[in-house]
Amino acid sequence: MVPLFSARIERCGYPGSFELRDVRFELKKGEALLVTGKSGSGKTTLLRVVTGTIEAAGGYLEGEVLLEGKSILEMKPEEVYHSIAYIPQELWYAFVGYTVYTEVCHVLAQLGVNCTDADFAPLGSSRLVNRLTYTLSAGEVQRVLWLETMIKRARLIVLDEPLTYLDEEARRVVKHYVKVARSREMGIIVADHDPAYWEFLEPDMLILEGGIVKYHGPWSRSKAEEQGMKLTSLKKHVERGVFVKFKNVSFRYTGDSYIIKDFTESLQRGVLTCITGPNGSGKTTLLKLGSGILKPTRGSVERYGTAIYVPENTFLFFSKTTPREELMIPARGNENKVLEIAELLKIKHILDRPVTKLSNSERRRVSIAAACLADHDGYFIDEPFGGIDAENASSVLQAFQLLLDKGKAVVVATHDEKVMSLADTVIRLGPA
Amino acid sequence: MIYRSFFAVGDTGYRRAHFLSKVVFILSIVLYTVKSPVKAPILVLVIFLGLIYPGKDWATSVLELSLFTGFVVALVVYSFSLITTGATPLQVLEVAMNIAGAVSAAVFSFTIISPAEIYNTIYLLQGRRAATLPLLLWVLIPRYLKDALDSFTIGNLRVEYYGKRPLRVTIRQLLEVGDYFEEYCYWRLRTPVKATITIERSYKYTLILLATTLLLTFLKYII
Repeated sequence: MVPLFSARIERCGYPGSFELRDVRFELKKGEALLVTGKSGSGKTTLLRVVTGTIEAAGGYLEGEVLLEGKSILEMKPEEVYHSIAYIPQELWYAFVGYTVYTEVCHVLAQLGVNCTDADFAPLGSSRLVNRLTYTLSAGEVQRVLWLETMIKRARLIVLDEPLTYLDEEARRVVKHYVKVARSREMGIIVADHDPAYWEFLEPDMLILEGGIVKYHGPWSRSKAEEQGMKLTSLKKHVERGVFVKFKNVSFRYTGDSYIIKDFTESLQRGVLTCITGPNGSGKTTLLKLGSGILKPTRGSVERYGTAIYVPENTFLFFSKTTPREELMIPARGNENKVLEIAELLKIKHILDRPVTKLSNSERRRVSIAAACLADHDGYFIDEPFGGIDAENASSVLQAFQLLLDKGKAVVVATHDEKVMSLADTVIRLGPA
Repeated sequence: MIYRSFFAVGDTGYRRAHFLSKVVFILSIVLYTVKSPVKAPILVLVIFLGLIYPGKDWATSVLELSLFTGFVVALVVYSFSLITTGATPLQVLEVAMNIAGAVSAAVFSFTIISPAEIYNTIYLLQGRRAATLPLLLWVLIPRYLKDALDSFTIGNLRVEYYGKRPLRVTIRQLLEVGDYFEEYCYWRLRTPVKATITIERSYKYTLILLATTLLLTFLKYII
């Protein structure tokens, strides 16, 4: 019987840059494969090969990938589109429609079907239907993308770090849909640096390291635990004075309802503060208010010192084309400082690689490094551990430790319980 | 201001008015703007329509944008007039208000056009892949505006080391964002569409636009 999907990759990667070698696997209908490994090991590169977009991303492939015996690169675009559903890590860039309604209707239109109200029933909320897509939270985006996947009846579903931006409720939704997909004999390929979550799927495992396959075989709990996130502990810190004071702060985006209402809190120097809450509860908004990116609609924010905001989309942070150039400026030309922070955050080997060729985790660590070198009084960092494996997460925590030791305020938005357990202060947001 | 005026509205309100009522309305507002010497009443009309829907935030943004543009142009005109005929303050004010009226008319006309209707039109003209473009543009432009604003303000926070963030940096970042769309929607953008998008219509907003068209026609004759 012809497998649903097979890959025989001799080499793939990017010219003059990262390369993945000798990867071979097959997937039958209803089977699942979990691709895991450290940041920069080649997970996303492999997914680009699987989805047939490696060349579009400036890369190359020597080998073949077959969907039910047919090469993806020889299939018509609409055949590939209807057969493979891809839910990327940066979810928001997978939308073509400006509202949820037009987004889903467009998918249906590509199938030759006019949309009706019934098509939106699985979303569970009619209020979502007319929302502008760029205002959706990560959890809401995921629900829409899964709805589209089920509508298309794709044969293969490819997920790239699907849990990165999701709260517990949204993760349950992913689990539900993955089980439904399996029951419909869809093939599933998931890339995740923290494989423990996927035990319910009992997938085959493909562990990558430095561009080669370290393990390929049945699910192994011990191997999953090896890859999983275990964070080094942070020593407890003492508050060293107020850095930001929120007084009755309320905020809403234009045309929207209040996302933050009557928030009063002081953020302290010298301690790690975690802001958490469900998707859409205002974590990012609060970071932006605290750092001065946004001004409150009502109330006041008093800041005692300079602040920096490191966004979720790290591209918005960079000014230069390579990490070395980026870090040299806050280091004021002091190469030793650059090498020191690069060593700590494990980015020494990528200092001269173009920023556009870095993995999500590498970019995140470079932006944290640049922020650390700039010596601000307060650091507002959005999802610093998003898509980062255990080893690199620990190095990020060490960087935070240095900042806290210097009496800086470090405020992070996260929904990762492991990170929250290490924080000195946790602020939980609910619906406004 | 630009983002709030043009892109903070989904397919609700006047976008749900019947297609023909929008065509007639836009034609009448264009005719009035071109033919009538006094365009300021349009500004009042647009703000009133905007207060009905999308509401105060939108109306305020459009008022700010229109008046700002009007006064900038009027200032330029006044500066030139100093070396020619010399305009009076009243004439400058008249220019400012007329420009403000024209700008508000353009913004409102743009806002009531539904990208889904443009999609349907292109689809019916056999543009089976091109039809996706208006939808994509209405996703990309506000995202670019939002990301550009974030990029600038982040750059300002880093100002002691970088100075003002150069425009080319922001443009490069936006191109990189574009690369994400290109990669993630690669096969989708190359797949033709085979159906129109059903658009829900509203009698209420259709009637409001028709009534406004009549009013504009009436104003054209008495002013």
